[in-house]
Amino acid sequence: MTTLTRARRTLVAAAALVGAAMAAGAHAQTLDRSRRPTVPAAAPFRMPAVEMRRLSNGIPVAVVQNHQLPIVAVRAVIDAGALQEPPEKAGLAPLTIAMLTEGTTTRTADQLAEAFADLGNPVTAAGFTTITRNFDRSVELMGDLLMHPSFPEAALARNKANTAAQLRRLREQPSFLADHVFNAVLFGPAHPYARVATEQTVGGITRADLVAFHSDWLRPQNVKLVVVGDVTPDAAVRGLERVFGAWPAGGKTASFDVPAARPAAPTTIYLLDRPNSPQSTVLVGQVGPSRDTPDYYALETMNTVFGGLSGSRLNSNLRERHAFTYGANAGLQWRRVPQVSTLRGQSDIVAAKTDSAIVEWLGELRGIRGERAVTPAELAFAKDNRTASLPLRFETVTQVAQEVANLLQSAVPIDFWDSYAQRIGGLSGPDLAAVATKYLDPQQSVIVVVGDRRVIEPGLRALNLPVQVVDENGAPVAG
Amino acid sequence: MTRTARSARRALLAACLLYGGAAQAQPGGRSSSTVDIPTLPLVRYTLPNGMTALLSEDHSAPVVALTVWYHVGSKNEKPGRTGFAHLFEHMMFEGSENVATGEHRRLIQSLGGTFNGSTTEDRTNYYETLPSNQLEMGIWLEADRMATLLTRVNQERLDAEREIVKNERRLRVDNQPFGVASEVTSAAMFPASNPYSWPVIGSMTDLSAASLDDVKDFFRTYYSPNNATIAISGDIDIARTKAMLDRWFGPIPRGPAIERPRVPATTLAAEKRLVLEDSRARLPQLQISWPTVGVHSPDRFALDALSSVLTLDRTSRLRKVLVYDRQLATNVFAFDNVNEDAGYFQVFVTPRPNASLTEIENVIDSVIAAVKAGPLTPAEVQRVKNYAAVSTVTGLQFRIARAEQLASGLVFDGDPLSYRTDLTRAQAVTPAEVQRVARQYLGAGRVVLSMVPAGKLDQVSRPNLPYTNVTPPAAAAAATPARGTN
Repeated sequence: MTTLTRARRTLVAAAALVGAAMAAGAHAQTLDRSRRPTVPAAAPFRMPAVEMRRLSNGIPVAVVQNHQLPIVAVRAVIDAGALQEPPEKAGLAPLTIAMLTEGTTTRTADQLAEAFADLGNPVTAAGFTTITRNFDRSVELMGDLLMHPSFPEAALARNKANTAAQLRRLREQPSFLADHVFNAVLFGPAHPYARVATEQTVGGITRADLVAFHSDWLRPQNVKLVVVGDVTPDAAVRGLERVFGAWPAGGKTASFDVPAARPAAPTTIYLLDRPNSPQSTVLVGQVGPSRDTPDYYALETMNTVFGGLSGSRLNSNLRERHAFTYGANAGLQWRRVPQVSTLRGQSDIVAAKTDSAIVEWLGELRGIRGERAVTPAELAFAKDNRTASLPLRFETVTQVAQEVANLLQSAVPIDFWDSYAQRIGGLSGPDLAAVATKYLDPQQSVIVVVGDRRVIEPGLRALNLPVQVVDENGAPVAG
Repeated sequence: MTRTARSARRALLAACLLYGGAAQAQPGGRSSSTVDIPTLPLVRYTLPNGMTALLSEDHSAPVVALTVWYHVGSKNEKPGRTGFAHLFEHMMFEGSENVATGEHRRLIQSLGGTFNGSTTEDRTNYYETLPSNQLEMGIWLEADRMATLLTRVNQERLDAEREIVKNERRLRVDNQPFGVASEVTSAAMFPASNPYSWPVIGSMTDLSAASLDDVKDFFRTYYSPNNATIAISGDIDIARTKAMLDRWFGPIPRGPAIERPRVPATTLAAEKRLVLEDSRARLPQLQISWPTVGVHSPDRFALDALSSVLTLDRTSRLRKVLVYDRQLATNVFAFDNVNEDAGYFQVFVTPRPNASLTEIENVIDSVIAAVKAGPLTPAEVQRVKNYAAVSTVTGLQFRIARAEQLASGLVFDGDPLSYRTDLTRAQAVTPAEVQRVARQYLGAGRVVLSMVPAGKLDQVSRPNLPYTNVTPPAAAAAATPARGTN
């Protein structure tokens, strides 16, 4: 009550003062705010110089010097993921990686934790970011995790039980459910991209599986290292060689031959019932080309016009024009060459407007293919965004480390960014329409809707598209 | 586009700049050596209209970040008109006299920049990161909306933004299992007259009732230069930047003096036990919250250390027992949330399936009782400080993080460089102080929230004690089909 009184008093006083202030402001204001500032041209941006080295056992090391702050970031790119798991042991790869911090042949998990706390930074198998002086000690701990795990049985049992609980919690999330259904219907339920760990697959994993997975895949030929920051290439390689140079060869070499996706089918709505969802989680997408396609630049730039940013068409339509959602975006999920990509948009739509939003969405797909040609202003917007944002993309040590790691992870040439601005600069409106027509097909898309069936199904049925009700794994259910 | 308080706080915690902590790392506990904490260069001055400018020059990347802080948040709202500060944040992106609706985001993105805004209980900020040659465009955009926003605010845009905010709430709160946990906790912890009792995103009923005049009054009262701070960090020239600020912000007239709400300190006389059901949840959760202190209390440093002593890593006291020894939980997280005038200490547990919430609560109580009985070892307090020192350095990487740090330091501590003094004060925390704040704040007056799948009231912690079921009507309706079919 007192708060209310005080607030009212403030408002009355404010109103009186504002009247006076605005009169004064009008008098003083000779500045023409409609004349936008003219800004100086940007200095040419030099991409961070990546120096490629190799350890004595062949492990490639990418080093970028950056002395902005006394810090260093190290990343390991390891080809030991879901594609290397036996299908019936889904979850083995992340479980193995998690178990690396549960103890090594010379340190217990608690001793590792003590060592991290002494430094003041955690170290994982994927790397670390720390102050320069902690570099050598952190590399040594990282090497110990990667090369000498002890995989204690008790820790495995605990990790398995925790993983099972987390898997159950994940299914509380509409975004996880939509993602899983989407991959199952797009690629086929048995496809590696549709595979997820379950309580059953994780339950069947043994210590012997971990030992074998580690012995097979965590090997020099499947590992690349990235060092960025306040360190010279010589010092970086010296520090890494001392630890990782002793990593013995052996095991297997990761391959990336993946079964073909399901053939594209007429656009269908796959509906997963999630009762009492005030919003529907909607995904619309299809299979795209490999990361090394010559269409890469046009596709990414087309997507910037279509759905990549909040200023893109999809968000402008669904959020700004129709207020159906808090946000909508679309993007390309690239995978390591030569695997296919996924072109996908996502949005959480207020339940009652789910069908209307899908109509608008499909309209935007037809639009970008040519019904609404990319305007010169849109083309400039997308190209300028992609090229002018390069300084922001490489602003910090951790960003540079991530960008370099992404190139290595995707098997893209390390000089990729050097010609990037030029490649983007050469694109035309018809180039964008051409890739939209080639890769985005509103007649052959997968639409996944996770929402309250009671509320949204009648509207979806009225759209004249096939509606298939599915279960949590994307399998058809009756009704 | 926007973030409300909780997620903003999480983001800041992730950036580690609010970590508090010490500049002293002790490798191996063997020898002590000081971590070199960079001091951000700083030029600080006040424009004649009362706006504070904080400029930090660094040419190591061709990037600049600016943030404008308005010292207004949901705390400045009144009951019946909640959600205003955040709704207003949305309106600030909908154009001003010289910026068309939707143009702000498209312009920044075409310049290669990023932008956003966020609202907490205490303040609202608007920020951009840009290639450094575009600094003046960022300044022009921020000045245009401070100077002329009301020329474009109209009923149609207000109605649309209201719907978007309702969608934001559906996304973050209503469609998440137990998404209302933090707001039922705040409502239980603070009396209804206390502005920290309502959520930043506000009541949707209040939002629907907001009129165009309410919005305009809010702007005139709080969006004045004398209630604003601009921090600019990165590749700038100080003299040229000052000239830009003079040109675009200088003519904006001073607004009324602002009366800050006086928020009394809060304690709870007794324990409040709450229960939340959710039909979409598959496993229960447990959350315990104690009222603590605001940013001006020196006790926040010891409370922060206490949270780390409990759950920082696998050797921390509570994590060790719950996750590793007894294996009752997959995870546990303790933190001290510090607002300008109040705070709360919270322990949040994600249990294992079939673990009893009662047993978990018993463990929490016994671990906290042991901390109170003491003594704590110097080592378990020191490790917290080592992490804080390193993360403070790595947390200075982004120019926007530096700008936010400077603005926050000024607005809340009166010192833009308070991250350094905060580190020093955190470093001085002793085991005895950690023990004292545990005794002082983690007492009987607290809010215990059991979150269970709909209908599973047998899973509530200590079910024989009286509790209030705070399940919102929508989620209660959620339980209906389950009752009907089983």
